[in-house]
Amino acid sequence: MARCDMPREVFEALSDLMTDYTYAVDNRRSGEDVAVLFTDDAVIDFSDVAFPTMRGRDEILAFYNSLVENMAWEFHMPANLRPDSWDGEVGAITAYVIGMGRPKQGDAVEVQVRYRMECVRQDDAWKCRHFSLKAMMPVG
Amino acid sequence: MTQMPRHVRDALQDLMVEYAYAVDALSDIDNLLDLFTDDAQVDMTAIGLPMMYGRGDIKAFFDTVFETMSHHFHFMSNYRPESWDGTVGAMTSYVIGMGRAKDGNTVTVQVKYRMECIEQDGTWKCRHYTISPMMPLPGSLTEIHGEA
Repeated sequence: MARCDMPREVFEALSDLMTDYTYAVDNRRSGEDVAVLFTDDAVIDFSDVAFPTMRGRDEILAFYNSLVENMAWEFHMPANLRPDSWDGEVGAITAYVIGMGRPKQGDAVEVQVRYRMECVRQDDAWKCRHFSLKAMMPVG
Repeated sequence: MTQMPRHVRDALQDLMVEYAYAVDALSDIDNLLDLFTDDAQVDMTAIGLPMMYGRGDIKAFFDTVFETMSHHFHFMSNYRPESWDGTVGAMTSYVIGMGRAKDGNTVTVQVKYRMECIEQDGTWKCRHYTISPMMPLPGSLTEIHGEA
């Protein structure tokens, strides 16, 4: 925590948001469960693992609805959560994630990646406005 | 054991996380060394790797690691305070460690870390670090990190 002055309660709130994200993705219930965790103008950049970059709620919703439709199993487990930046309003955290998934058709996948979520508080709730992945082990 | 205060527990856990980020960056050896006291001991003998005495030994070992590896991933969980005497605190954690060498060799281990730490000039540092195996070790570990 020494690397930036993020208050502990903000760090815990952002950590909770990341946990909520994994639960929302892994329950495979609705893209809306995921989209609600992001601001309307959020950007999700998965280009480092050869997935699309999504801009705004409609693209995010479409992507996660497609996961709900196509995935049979998902498992995303974060660890090593760490504050990355804090300016008094905008906070970013990073975490290591082991991600596993099995599509309804096709082979299972496993990745070891780092998440970075940049978040702001809107209407008493923390939301992610920029989410990116970095591959830590070779993908595929 | 006196119960470890929350702020010490948080600081030690944060130090372990910083260690993972520093090791996995595979660059900036000074950032890694800053997490240890000058006289720190690092005992990796239980996994077939060296015993290190002081920053010089630690630097020499990790200089080679950083040069050899293309990917690192050290995933920590199960943090647990182990001891606290009012000045020195120790914490353990489980770790899944993965790596890929530049020659294509790969390694995955399941181990336990123990870090014994003290506060120096307002910063917590590790003065004794040990790794213990929790599952059988793969031969590739010493192929990649062992002494030639």
